[in-house]
Amino acid sequence: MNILTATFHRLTSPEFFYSKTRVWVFCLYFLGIAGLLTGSIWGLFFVPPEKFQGDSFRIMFIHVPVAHLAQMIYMGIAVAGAIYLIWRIKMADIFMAAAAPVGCIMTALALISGIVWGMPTWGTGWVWDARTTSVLVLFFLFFGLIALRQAIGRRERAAFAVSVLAIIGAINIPIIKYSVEWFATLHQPASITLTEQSAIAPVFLIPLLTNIASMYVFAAGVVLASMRAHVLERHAQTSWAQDTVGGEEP
Amino acid sequence: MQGRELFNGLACRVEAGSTIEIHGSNGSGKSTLLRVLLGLQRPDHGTVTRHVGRIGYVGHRLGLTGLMTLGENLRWLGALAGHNSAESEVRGALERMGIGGCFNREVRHLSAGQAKRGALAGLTLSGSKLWLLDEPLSSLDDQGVSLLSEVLTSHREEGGSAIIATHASITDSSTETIELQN
Amino acid sequence: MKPFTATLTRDVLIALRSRTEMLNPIAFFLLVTVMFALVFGRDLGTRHLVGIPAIWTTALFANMLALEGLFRREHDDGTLALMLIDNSVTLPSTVAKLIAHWLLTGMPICILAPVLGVAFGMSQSTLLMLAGTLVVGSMVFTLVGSVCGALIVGLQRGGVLLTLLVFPLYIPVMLLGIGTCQLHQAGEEYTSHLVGSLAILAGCITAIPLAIGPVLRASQDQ
Repeated sequence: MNILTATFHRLTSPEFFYSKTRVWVFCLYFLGIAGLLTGSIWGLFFVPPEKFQGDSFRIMFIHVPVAHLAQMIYMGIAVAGAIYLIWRIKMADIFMAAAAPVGCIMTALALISGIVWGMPTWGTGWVWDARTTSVLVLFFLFFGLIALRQAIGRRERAAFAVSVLAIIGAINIPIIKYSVEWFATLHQPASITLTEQSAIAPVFLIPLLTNIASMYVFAAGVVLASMRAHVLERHAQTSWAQDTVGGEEP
Repeated sequence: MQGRELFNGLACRVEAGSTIEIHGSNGSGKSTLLRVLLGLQRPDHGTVTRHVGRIGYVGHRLGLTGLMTLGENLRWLGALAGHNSAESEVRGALERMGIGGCFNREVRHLSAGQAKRGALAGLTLSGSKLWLLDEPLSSLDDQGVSLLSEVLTSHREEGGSAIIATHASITDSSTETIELQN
Repeated sequence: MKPFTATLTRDVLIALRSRTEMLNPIAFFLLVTVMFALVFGRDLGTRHLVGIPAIWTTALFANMLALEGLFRREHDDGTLALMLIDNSVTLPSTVAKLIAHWLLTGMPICILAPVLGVAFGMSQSTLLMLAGTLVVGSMVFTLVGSVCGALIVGLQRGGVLLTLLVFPLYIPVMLLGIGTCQLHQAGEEYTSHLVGSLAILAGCITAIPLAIGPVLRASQDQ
């Protein structure tokens, strides 16, 4: 993600961006999928069962990467929103448009896998603690970003509105975490929390880190591919775009 | 309007006491140009520099609230422009546009032409040096048109200027014209 | 008259002339709360638990209901554009609109809430605390909601979208407000919750009036 934001400035020419990033997408897809397969197979078949949770903990190898990435994508969108508001760089808007659906799916996966993990392990699919609540709110925020962009016809206005909403949401998330924590202390004993993760043994850590890193790479590939499509669509009238489409699909 | 280039390489200056008319067929970007000048819409490139304080504007949406009387509307418009218009002043402005009797009528009960005249009367109250008018002739009758050109003439004589988007010419002397091609 | 007072009196005048529109959210608040009291009010234990959250969430939804009309009429009749053309007028007139909006929707709810709280058997001091926290909460609702309302000005089907946008942003102040009241009811220390909601209000009062003008101006671009 850092490499991406750093190259935004160099790649602001759409034609340059489109032609140069083609190889990147392939590399990112390849590395990401290979890494995810390695990490998941390792985690599912070669790691010993956990002492207390048995085999059900293995969903962690999916849950933790998607939950982590969902938050990072939101932060990325908020930063892109600030960049757009300050410098009006169109590529920042294209990044927001491309990343929001990916983040939305990641958040949904994090919620679903969390429920699936919680049911057998803690006997309940849902606990209203700070982390689950903020992920749920994140889902609504992603959904809001997508819906807002859909609803506004004019591109400049949509970009502005989405940037503002992304930044407000980014301010909102830590406030939600605090407010839910304070609210929760008054209602439930702290015994049931998904927040407290016991220290992870190195056996589990290595495949987990592999999956987290690969998920980053894979998501970067998806976002980049989507950005390429957006760039092409927005410049559909230009000669280079028509040449490109004509050249690729005769 | 997505992705369509409406105008390019457009540069103009508005001198005090002069009028610029923007001509062009429907959809040629007259309203958009006015809204860019007003700062309600961002140009893709280029800048708009304002050297006048207050701008008076009458667009397609007249800026009159249906639930208030014409008098209340005009006094609010005056307050936005920073001065306290007395009732007699507002009545005078309405008289000049030939609708003195509408002072106490709610705008939603007025005809389109009366509302238009009311909005134009609001302009004269605002004390703005520069007026931006979007299709001021629409829904005005012949008497309304001649009253408007009288008002415009006296506005120019007081050193004011106007930019008018229209498909039919209103003023004849000291008028510059910009043609927008479709 | 200055733009601020002129706009404030104008908005109050319009609200008085379109009574049904103004009374809608308040009637909604009244009816839903009464319904809650009817359903949960018989059992003393339940009504003790349900009262505060029921009134708070209903107040939140009533506010969402009112929010849609915040800039709609002004956008449709073109007065919003006039407020935005002149930079020096934008801030006082939009702030006046927000204050008028709160006076006409937020404040009646804050006055009604303790009256309705009686139906849930709340003690006198809890009723006062409920009204007090609702004052803070409804101000935050109006301020935060106005930014979202400004984002969607002039869009068709804006109402549902608006609900989606404000929902996550309303959660913190609602949780802290309910928390304050419940801690107070239980006779426990509630200062941290109260300070938390006041801090959110202070942040909103500082930032939002300045942000609302640019957001509204960008929404004129269509």
